[in-house]
Formats: sequence, structure tokens, C-alpha cells
Amino acid sequence: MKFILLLSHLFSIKIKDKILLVLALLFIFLHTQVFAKTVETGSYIFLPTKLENNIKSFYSFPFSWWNFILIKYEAPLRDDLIGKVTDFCKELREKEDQQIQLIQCGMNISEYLQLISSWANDYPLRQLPPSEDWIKWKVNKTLTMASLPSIDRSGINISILRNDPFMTYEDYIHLMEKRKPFSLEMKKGLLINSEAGLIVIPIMFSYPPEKTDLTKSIARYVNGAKDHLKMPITMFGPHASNWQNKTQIMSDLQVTGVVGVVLFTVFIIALVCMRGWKLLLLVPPIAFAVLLSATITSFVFGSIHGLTISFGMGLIGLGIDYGLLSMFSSDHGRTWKSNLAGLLTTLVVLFVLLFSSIPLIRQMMFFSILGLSFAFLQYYILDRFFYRKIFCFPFPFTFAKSSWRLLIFLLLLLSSPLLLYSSISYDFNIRSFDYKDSVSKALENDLFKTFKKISPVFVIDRALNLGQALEITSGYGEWSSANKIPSENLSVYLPKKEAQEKNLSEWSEKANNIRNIFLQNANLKIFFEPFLTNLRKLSVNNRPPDYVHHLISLGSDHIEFLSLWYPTNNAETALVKKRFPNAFVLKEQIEIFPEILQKELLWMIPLTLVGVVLILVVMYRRVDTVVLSMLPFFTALGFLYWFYKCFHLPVTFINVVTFLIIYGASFDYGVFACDAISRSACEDYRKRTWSSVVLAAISTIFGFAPLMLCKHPVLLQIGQTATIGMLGTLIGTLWGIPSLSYYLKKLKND
Amino acid sequence: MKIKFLLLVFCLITACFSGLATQSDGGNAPLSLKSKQIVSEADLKKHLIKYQQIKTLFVKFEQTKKVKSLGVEIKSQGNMTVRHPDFILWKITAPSEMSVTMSGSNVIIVSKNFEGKELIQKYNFQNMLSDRTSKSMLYLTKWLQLDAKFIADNYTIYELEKNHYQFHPKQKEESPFSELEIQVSKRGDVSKLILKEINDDEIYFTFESPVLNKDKR
Repeated sequence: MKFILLLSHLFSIKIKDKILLVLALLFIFLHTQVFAKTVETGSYIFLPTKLENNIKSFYSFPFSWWNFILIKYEAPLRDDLIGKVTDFCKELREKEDQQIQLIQCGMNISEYLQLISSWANDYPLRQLPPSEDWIKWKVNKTLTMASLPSIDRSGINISILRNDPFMTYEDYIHLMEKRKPFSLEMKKGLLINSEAGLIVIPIMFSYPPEKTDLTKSIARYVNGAKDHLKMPITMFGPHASNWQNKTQIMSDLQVTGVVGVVLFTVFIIALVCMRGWKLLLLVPPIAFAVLLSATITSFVFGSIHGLTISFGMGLIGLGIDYGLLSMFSSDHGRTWKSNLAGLLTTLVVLFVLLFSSIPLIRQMMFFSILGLSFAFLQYYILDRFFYRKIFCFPFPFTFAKSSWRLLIFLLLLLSSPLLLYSSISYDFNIRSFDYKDSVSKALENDLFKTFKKISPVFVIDRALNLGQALEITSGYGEWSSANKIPSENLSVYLPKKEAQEKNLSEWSEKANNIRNIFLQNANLKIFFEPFLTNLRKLSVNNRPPDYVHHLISLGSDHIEFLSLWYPTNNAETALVKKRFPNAFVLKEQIEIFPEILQKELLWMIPLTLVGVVLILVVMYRRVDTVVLSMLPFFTALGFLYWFYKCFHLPVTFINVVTFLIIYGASFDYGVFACDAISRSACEDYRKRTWSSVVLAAISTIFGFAPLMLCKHPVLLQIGQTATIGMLGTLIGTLWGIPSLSYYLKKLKND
Repeated sequence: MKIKFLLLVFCLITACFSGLATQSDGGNAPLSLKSKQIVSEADLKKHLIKYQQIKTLFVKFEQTKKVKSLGVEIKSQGNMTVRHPDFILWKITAPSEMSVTMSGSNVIIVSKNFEGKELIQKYNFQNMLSDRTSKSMLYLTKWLQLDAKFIADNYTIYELEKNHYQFHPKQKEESPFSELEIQVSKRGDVSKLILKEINDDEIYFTFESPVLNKDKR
């Protein structure tokens, strides 16, 4: 009974209220759905799939988990400084033992004890048994070493020698030395670039770079050390970079959050004072559109990236232009024609960019197309049933024609081609997304100077197990030797399974003779007991030993393994790439991104412009309207040109993506302005149009301008491009189109 | 590992100079007794003046390392040459041949590979580790220079018995050894040296009579 009463009550509600009720329920439902999905923050989304796979795979190998702590000192390198640095390393190791795999600071052999022991244990797998004379000679040498005083409390050296009578750890150290990407001196246990006055402390983390929460305490400890050491200090590497970017973005967003709230409050107060508070009713549809499109995007792509939400919201926020125009409108038929033209011109841009090979752009466009369309639909429905009943007074904006405004407009318009053809630099490198303070930049540049000039070449392969991987890499080892290009791969550490079995079998055959050497007296037997025990128990298995873990990434039913080549010139690099088609140079992988982007922009931008022109031609069938509508786009470009030129800023990928927001808004405003100045539009319509355009622009500027206070390059560039671009669009819309139209008409009449 | 050679040289120099500084008869005494401190800086200077007349020294030794945790003994033997003021050649002849030459701040380590070919490694100890080991190297330099103030400042010296001395480093955390002991023979040269490591291992040195050349200045 109660249910029937409820149903009847529902049916009696007015249609508009029902619509609002349904929307509210959907809003709540979708709100929970969106946040139930993972929001991604990784940087792989910038990369086309093949690049992403290579780089993602690369960072799954512990080999890539090395970072560097850089400390700048004033020459000469004094003992007290060295003492402070080694104490700092010791404390860091003690404090963050779980997070640190290895730290090279002072000759602390305990860091490598496990690796060296594992390496020594597997000697019989790697080598056939040597001659008895050789074994005797080596054992004597080892005993000589063991007879020397130990240098620390733990007796670590003794434990190494007991497991490693043949001192194979020297070979392992030699391999590690070859792996170093830089040439630095070793002084008093520290790696140093004495020319630059730089101490370099390699530190290997025990987890992949994207786990920034684990990096937090180490990064803070390193940062805090500068007060104690009284020397500039920074950390450089994939973990450090992820952490620094995340921290700076959070810090910047806190600042912009406060400023944004202040601006928003000022905006609301201004609206109230100007009797426009009802315009706030335009906000819920946009919010709903964002949530709905975020949910669908999340389902389609599996997750949604933080940047998609940030940028996409800006694009969807353009939809508020349609709502504003309809709320101020006194001629809804004309208004919705303008809105439709605005929507279609924006959608054609988004649709063309949907075919980009860059996943972030594809996701952003999908999100924006959905959101903008939902926003448009909601405003259309709400306008029919709700907004038309709300009367909005137009604001007293008039834009009288003036020659100086026209001159400024023409200057910006004519400057727009300079963005492509002048001395403005373009930097589409992904590295420009990284936040670095000036101290870090300087120290990293000093480190880069010590890096070997030719980058290593990587190959990532897959196998069912270690045995299969060794089979593959044994061929790599042979090729490396034949072509004299040094290589780091699994075969350097272990031979194929058959060879291991053969070696071990030989050792077993000669086991008695070998054991007799060690059993000459009780002292030898006791001292080398660990070695003898290991020799008895040793077998070939598929479990990767510790000393190859840096080259292996374990999957559930397979392993991926990394191989590196160290060419000394470009010809050798080319030779490696020819032999191994899936080989890649990390630096080149990252540099492919700007190449891909440039190629895509070269055909996408002209295609979008053609699309926009076609739509305007079809809808308005007037050349002057089509041309005038496009002018705010060019004035935006011109204003941006002068901004980048005056402040010597390069154009980056972020600038280009942000400009999409301006791209859409500029055509919207151009269409609105052309409609407003057409002969059939009355003065009241014009005023209302300027009111909606100015308010729309102000809301966009208020949304993005606070980002100009940010230090992170991505946020800063978004703020700069959106704010300056929007101002340029406004100039074109409010100063340019009316003035130009007026003077053209005057010329025509004359 | 190379640092170990240098430490051993340091200990031997300590032993030899300590032995030469005192001309009393030696004897076998219990190793762990402590007595009052007897050597002041002034006394030490008096003893060391005699040594400064020595130009060269050559002595053979036998060494036994007792690894207490394992209960094993590792034996080796060799000889040492010292030329005033700062040249030392320390050579192990068995179980395997290896030599360390120190001259000023330069260190040369020579060993042989299986084929008998010499392998030479050169270092400047100014570039070596700046930790307890490198501080030991600095101690060695001071011993070579017979800096009585340095020795008295850094060691507490006890006489356990007649001609049986014990040196305790004052800065224990910086020293690789917890203590040193020396026994001096009737002839006035060091017959035994015992090094006690921080991990409780002990290294015993037995010396033959040194061959000395005095400075005729």
C-alpha cells in the first residue's frame, strides 16, 4: 500500500522535477562508481603502445632501480666531509633498510655479501674444475689473504673466503665495474667528479619507481641532510623523479586550491552583486557530465588518468558556454543554432584528435566528446523546461568600435603565423614534464657530463624459465664476442643448462681429488667447510640466483630478461639494432615521442581546420561569417606567440594539449559573436551575448590562472597557455569581430 | 684486502720500534695481565732517540692467525725491510708470495699469477678509504716518523712484565685492533707480537733477530 502511494506520488511530480530527481540519483550513483575505479597517475600514458611496453618493461627490472644521491662539495675534499658523508650513508641504510637494495658509499663489502656469496657458490656451474696445481696455488693465496687482519667487527672477509676459496668475487667486482654508465674517480671510498666537485652515491631501491609512497621517507631524509651536511644535495633517478613530481604537484595544487577558492568566492560575490546568482544553476549539469563521461571512459579504457580528468574537465567546462548563452538569451532559436555550431566545431577537433597514437590524447578526446555532448544535451533539455523561466539581466558590457582595439586585434591576428615560422623553440621532449629545482638541475648536469657518450642498447626477451633464457642468451654472448661489442646478459653470469650440468658432472668426478686438497689438515677442512658443503649439495635448477636478479623480471608463468650492449660508436649501435630488431636505446625511445607528436599535428591541425570551415559553411553559408568566426582562434595564437617570445619560453606538448581548450572556445565565441553582430540581431541580444561570452571567459580564466603560480612545469604551462590563449580569444571576439565587421561594412558602403 | 697488508706493516713497525726503544731483556709472560702505565711521553721520547740512529732494518717473521670463532689456525711466513725514514717492504713468502712496498704515500702491491707472472698494483693511500683503515694508515705514518707525542696521545702503554708491553688504543672505535702486545728479547729486539682484533681473532708474530744498519750521522 505504501509502495503504491509512493508510486502515485512519483507520477504526480512535475516533469521538470522528475528530470531533476533522476539526474540527482544518477549523480550520486555515478559519483560512487567513478571513485571506485582506479585513477591512474603514471607517465606511461604519454607513450604509444610499443614505446610504453618497452619502457614499462624496462622499469620492471631491478637493473633500472638505481638512483644517485648527488652532493656538491667545495674543493678540496676534506676528511671531515668524507666522514660526514659516510655517516649519512650509514644512517640512511640503517633507517631505510627495507627500501634499499644496495648503496655504494665507502667500501662497505657487507652491502654485496649476499651477491658475492651467491656468485661464489655457483662457481662449479660456471667453470670446469681447474687443475689440482691451480687449486693448490689458489687455496694458498686465499689462505694468505685470510691470515691478514680483518678490518671490521663482523669477520665478513673471512666468511667470503670460506665460501670462495678461488676468490671469484674479484671477477664479480670486475663485472660490476664494467656495468657503470659513467666514469668517476674513486677517492676514499666515494665516487667523485673532482672537476665538478660532486660526490655521487649510487643507491638501488628494492621496488619499482612508481611506488612513490615507499620513496617518501628516503627522499625526505636526503632532503633533510642538506642542513646537517651543509652542502647542496639532491637525488636523481626514476624513483627520485616520480617522488619530486608528485610532491611538487601536491604542493602546487594546495596553493592553487586556496587561490581558486578565493577567486571562486569573488566570482560568486560579483555574480550576486550583479544579480546573476541564478547562473550558478549551470554548474550541476557540468558536474554531472564530467562524472558520467569519467565513468564511461573508465569502463572503456580500464582506468582513467588524472591528466584526462584535469584537461578533460576544462574541455567539458566549455559546455558551460552553451548554458550561459541560453540563460541570457532572448532568442532561443538563434541561440541554439549558435550553440550547435559551437558544439560541432569543437567536436570535429576532438574527433580528429581521437585518432592520435598517444593514448593520453585518445582518452582525453573520448572523455571530452562524451562530456561535452552530455553537457549540451542537458542544457538543451533544461533550457526548454527550466532555464527559460529564469530571467537573467544582461551585464552592462558594450564594446564600442575603436581603431586602437582594431589595431591590437590586427597585430595579434597577423602575428599568429609567426608561432610556426619564427624563432620560437619547440620542446616536445617528455623530460620537460619533469619538475626540477635549480640546485637539482645543476647537480644533474654535472653528473651527465660523466656519463659515457654512447648510450647502452637494451633488449627485453621472454622465456618460460631460466634454462630457456640462458639458451637464448648464450647466442648473445657468442655474437657479442664475435663483434667485440661488450654485453651484459645472463650468459655473462651463467652458461646454458647443458654446460652447467657438464661442469658440475666434471666437478663430481674429480670431487675426491679436490676434497683431498682441502682435507690436508684439520685447519683447512674446518676453514673451507662451507665451500665443501656447497659443492656436495650444488645442483642445476631454474631458480634465478641473486646475482642475476637485476636482469630478470618474474611473471606468473614466464620470465622476462634484459640484455644490454655497450657500443662505443654509432656504427656499433646500428649493428646491434640490426641483429636484434627489438633492441632499443632508452634515450631514443623517449625522443620518439616528440617525433610522433609532430607528425600527427602536421596532419591533424589542417584537417580540423578544414572540418571547422566545412561546418561553418554548411550552417551559415556566408563567407564573411565563416572567416570572422575563425578570427578569435588566430588572435589567441598571436597572443600566445608574443607571450612565448617575450618570456623566451618553448612550446611544449602540454602547451599544445592545453590549446585544444582554447581551440574549442575560440570557435564557440567566434560563432556567438558573428551571430550577435549579424543584421538580424538586436542590441539586447548583442548585450546578452557579450555577457555570456565574458562570463564564460572569466570562469575559464579564473579556473586556469591560479596554475600560473605553480612551479611544476606541467601545471604552469597549462595555466599560462589557457589564460593567455583565452585572453587572446576574448580580444578577437570582443574587440576584433565587432570592430572589423563594422569597418568592413563601412568600407563596403563607401 | 690490500689494506690488510698495510695494517700488518703498521703493526710490525710498531713492534720493531717499540722493541728497539727498550733495551731490556725479554721473557715469556702471560698475555692478558695489565699493570700500571709506565711510559710517559717524555720516557717514550728518550727511548725513541736511540732508534733514530737506525738506517735500515731487515727481519724474518712467522705468523699465526687464530680464528677463534672457528677454532682454526692459519700460518704464514715472510720478511720485512725498513729504511729510514719512510720506506717499508713487507713480504709474505708462504703460503703464497705477496709483497707490499710503502714509500711516502705511495703503495705498491706485487703478487704473482699462476704462471708466475708478476701482477703489480699501485695506489696512493691519500685516495684510500677514509675510515678506521685509512686512519690506521695515518697512524702508520706517524709511527714511521716516530712521533712520540702521537704515540703517547693515541696509545695507553702498560708494562705487563719486564720487557712485555701492552698498547691500548685510546680511540677504540677508530682502531682495527683492540690491543697490541710486544715481548722484547734479551738482545733488545722484539721476539713476539700479538694483535688482538675487534672480532676476537688473534694474530701472533714470532721474529728472528733483525739485521740493523745504524746511521753514521
